[in-house]
Amino acid sequence: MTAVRVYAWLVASDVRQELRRARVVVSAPVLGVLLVLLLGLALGAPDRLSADWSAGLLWMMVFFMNAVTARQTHTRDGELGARDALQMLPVDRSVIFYARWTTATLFLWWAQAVTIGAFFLFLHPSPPGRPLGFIAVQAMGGACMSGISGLLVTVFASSVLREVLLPLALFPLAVPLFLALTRLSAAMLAGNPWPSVWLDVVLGYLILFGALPWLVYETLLEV
Amino acid sequence: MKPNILFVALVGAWMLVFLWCALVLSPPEVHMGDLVRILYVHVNSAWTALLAFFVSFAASVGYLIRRRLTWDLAAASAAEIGLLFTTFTLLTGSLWGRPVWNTWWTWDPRLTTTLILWFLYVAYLLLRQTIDGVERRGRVAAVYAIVAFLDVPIIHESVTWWRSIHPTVIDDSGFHMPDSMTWPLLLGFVAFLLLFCLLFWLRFQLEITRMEAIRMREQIRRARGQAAHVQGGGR
Repeated sequence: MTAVRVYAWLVASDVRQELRRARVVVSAPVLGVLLVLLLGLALGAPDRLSADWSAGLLWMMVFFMNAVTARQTHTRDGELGARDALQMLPVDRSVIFYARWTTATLFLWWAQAVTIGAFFLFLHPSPPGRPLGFIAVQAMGGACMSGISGLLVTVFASSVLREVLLPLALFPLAVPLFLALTRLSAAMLAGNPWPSVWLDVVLGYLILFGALPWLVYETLLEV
Repeated sequence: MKPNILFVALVGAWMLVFLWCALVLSPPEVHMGDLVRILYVHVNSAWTALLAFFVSFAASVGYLIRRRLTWDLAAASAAEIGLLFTTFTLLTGSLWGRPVWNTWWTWDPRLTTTLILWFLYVAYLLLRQTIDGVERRGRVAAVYAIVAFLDVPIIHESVTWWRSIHPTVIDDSGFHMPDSMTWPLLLGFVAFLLLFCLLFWLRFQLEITRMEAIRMREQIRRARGQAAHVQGGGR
């Protein structure tokens, strides 16, 4: 079995399992919409939000959605007893991580799409000046966030404090990314040109957290 | 024990010389007056914290390559000391900020990112305390320490693009301060470096002793088990 076939099989299996049980695909968008409502109440039902506020609030919600739902796949593996079977796959173990990253990103994108829809519906920000750029930033940000949380979930898997440690470490590690995504989103919402410095930060995160699992994931899975 | 006492004496003597230079010999600054003396502790704490985190990173890489427990213990010791010095940096920064910026805390990039660094290493120490098994703990903590340290340059770079009101008195072009202030600062750097070495050595020895105690306790438990087995006629 080649690495590519294992990867494709794992992604398909994860998506199938998730659609059958409908945990993350339901809970993450519902949580996102709930956060939008809470923000609306906290801000006193604003008539219109500025681009800076919209971008910051949007990414704060994505961060919380990601932090709360990141452990679901790992928990499901434990419930179904799939962890041992996964470790016996005759491929480099980082393939498991990349497959999980792909599915986590797909589910996060789905949750982001629903949450952003609710955000525009309830909080009335101005529509994006550069819609395609806005979607691209959301997509890149979702991929980065799920990559970092996926790696941290594996790091904290054996800790008894894993529920607390994940958000505690996720936010500090993602701060530059968070800044970059809010700046990029604000620029796309306002219809300004791409701020290249912040784009570099996002690309740097994608490269760093794309290469790190290949180097350390196998070590983390050792018994 | 004797080398430890000599080392403590050396660090203590150097520290006294540094404090004398920083608090007595060094002149007050034109605008800030005597407040500037916080600089000698604040800047050196920050440098020492970064050095400690680098040592923790290097020891973690060493552990993943060699898989020897001593590397893991060194990484943990350095991270603990790094956290201590980061706390000093934040406290002295806040004390300095109150009279100069008229606030205990401002969302300045340097302050914010130092606090972020503090959180990252609090998570590291919590992680170490909540994992069973020496080998597993070492492995997981080493990976986390590497990830956390790799984030440091990104954090540092991101703040250079963010507006900062934090003064930059030392950069690639050198020290932007008079010699009367540069020398106490450099003297303080050596003092803090020696203090780091001393604390690191003591903390590392403590960890080694703790591991030895755990090993001996395990041996006693096993010997008691065997004795009970023999007394019971091997049943």
